[in-house]
Amino acid sequence: MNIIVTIKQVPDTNNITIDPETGTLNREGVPAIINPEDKNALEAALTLKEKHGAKVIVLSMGPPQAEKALREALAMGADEAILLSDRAFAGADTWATAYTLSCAVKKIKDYSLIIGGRQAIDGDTAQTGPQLSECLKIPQITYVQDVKVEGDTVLAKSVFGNVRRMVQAKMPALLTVTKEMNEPRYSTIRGIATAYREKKITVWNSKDVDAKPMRIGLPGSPTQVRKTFSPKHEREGKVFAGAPGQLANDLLGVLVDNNYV
Amino acid sequence: MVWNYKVLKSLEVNTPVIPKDDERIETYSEDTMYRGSPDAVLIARDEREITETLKFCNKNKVPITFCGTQTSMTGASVPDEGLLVSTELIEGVEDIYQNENGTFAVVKPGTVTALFQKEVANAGYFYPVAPTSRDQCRIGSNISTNATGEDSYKYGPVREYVQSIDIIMPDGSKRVLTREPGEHPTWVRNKAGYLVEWGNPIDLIIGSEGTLGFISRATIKLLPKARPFFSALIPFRSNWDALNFAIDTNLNDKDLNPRTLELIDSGALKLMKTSRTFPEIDEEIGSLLYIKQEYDDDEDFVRWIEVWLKKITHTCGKDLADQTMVAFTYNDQEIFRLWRHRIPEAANEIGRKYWKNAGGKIGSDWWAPMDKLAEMMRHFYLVADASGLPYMGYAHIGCGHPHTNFLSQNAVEKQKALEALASCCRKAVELGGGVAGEHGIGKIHTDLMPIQYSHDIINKMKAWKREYDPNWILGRGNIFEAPNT
Repeated sequence: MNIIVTIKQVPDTNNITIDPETGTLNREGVPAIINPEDKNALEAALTLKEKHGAKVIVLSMGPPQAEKALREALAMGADEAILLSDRAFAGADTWATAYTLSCAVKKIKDYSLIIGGRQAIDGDTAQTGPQLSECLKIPQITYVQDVKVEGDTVLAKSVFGNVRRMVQAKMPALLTVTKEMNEPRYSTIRGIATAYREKKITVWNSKDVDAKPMRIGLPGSPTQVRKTFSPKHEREGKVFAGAPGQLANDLLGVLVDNNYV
Repeated sequence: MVWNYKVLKSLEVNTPVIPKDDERIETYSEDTMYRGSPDAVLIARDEREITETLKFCNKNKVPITFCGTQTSMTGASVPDEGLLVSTELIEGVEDIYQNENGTFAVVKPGTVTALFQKEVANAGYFYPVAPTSRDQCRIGSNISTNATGEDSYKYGPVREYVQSIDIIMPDGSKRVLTREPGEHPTWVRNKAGYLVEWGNPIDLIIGSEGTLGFISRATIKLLPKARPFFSALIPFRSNWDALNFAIDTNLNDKDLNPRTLELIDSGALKLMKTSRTFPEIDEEIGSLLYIKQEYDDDEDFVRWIEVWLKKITHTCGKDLADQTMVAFTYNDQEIFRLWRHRIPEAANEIGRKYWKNAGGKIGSDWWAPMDKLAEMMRHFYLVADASGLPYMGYAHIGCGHPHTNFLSQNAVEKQKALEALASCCRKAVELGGGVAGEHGIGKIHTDLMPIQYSHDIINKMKAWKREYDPNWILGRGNIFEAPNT
């Protein structure tokens, strides 16, 4: 069984700010990490590998720097890594990204499962996974928190809000997982040494995956980000000072003035 | 030294003083290890208020204790009597500047250490002294205790970085103490009382636990931008395997220069496992070493990975080497750090439950020279086993001073723990070490001072105390028992 895990290298949003003038992310000095839920996806694949035996292939689209994320995935235990990197991929929205990934998956050909994180922390769209399944015309199960492989089917627990469903699909199928799925393992020291010294990362460009030029990158993207900005806080906080009794009176005054009490 | 509580009512400062019968005083009545009894609390707003308060207290002989966030482990930041002054509002980095001697930051005492680190990092510099409580503790308190932290294995204690301090004396006068160019302070781990061999009075103030003057401002030497690092948790079958590895790394393996080298022994590992995110590990793993290794670039990263892998495989075997977890992203490193922080946090939680029965956590951080550390640890484990109490050893093993904790459920057990602690301190001193390697003496370890120092040396320290604080109002009860009142 081959399991493809789609991962994305993202800026660590715990350490990121937005330039209020340009509305762009201040990326300088911000560490790049594997998108957290993609790590859950990788952990799910590695767990299935340990249980059933499988080859885990990590697949990412991004600039050459994304190799580092793939090395980390290899260090965690992935067997192979493929990076889709080409200037022509730049500016891709989720639809063009899904199409590009689907071209790579078709080139890999032999796979039973594709697992990815529900959404990336730099976009929060949760679209790429489902769109990839549409491109490949395979079943998808999203918001997955548990998974079992039985014969040629996959059985997954999908949780969305208060709705929990057990969904079965025939493989090949695509799953998107949430952080509740598992706790991703840490890289081992030998895993890192092997990832850097023994394992290779295959780099494919648009021609390697036979992608149509008008369906990738900016030309292939029906949506565009027009503007990013930090939300403005229109209501300001107010700090009261004074003795406890006075504070209580002040607070009550505000509540009465605003007709809350 | 007699003073009258009622006199505090005549203290005139702009900020309202929290009186003893106000519920808010509870917040300021405990540190991690000790419950005190402040008669009033002032959350001072500025240096002027501190000066006026000191003059008032000195004139009326009112004991005055300064505190940061009270993360101290010795009761040093909690008074048994008198006024407690919190510095939490006197915070901020005033300046970052360069001259021919280096780069420096001028910082107010109430600045939270982690925020200070962040601010200097944003300016492109590095301040390496980070106690485990760095998200809460404050720079002024760090200087008052000559704090260290997990990275002190490579970077040493606060003393190394303090270039200058402004102090306010009990009579309200001010002094500025500055290091001479090229002056290199000692890195010795000894935190018991004042630094006996001080040459510059700045070294007498650093680590004096708030007993000689109030540090109102500090100029801190900064290092160039921090290098990236990876953290690793190296598994061992026994405490002794981990100890031997650490001692060998320190004494013999000069090629390795980790930023951190800490022990997590079997008792500590049990507490670490109570962290919600700690993964399942093999039962055969009985202890861990926590290391951090800096590197320059990707190639250097892999080189250091291979150097450590070779040593771990050679010492522990392939099976355990394969279970060495590594964190090389910020988030994962923070998780490792929080696992490590979970040990004292859990021990304190358990210890506090036993306070009501006169028990609690008995912690210590005696230290021994690295070439005597094996003998010291043998003694500790013998004494600890004989006590029959739950115990643990963890933290700065690479510097020869692990933190050892006993958990006592009642007064009888507490006495056993105290006897075990005293026995270890005597052994540490016999081996050339000391009774306090990081946390200081505070109020709970004053009885350990005579184990390390002769009567003459303690009297010499008391003479310095009287010189700076004739009315013995500052940090009363810290380092020395309070004089008769």
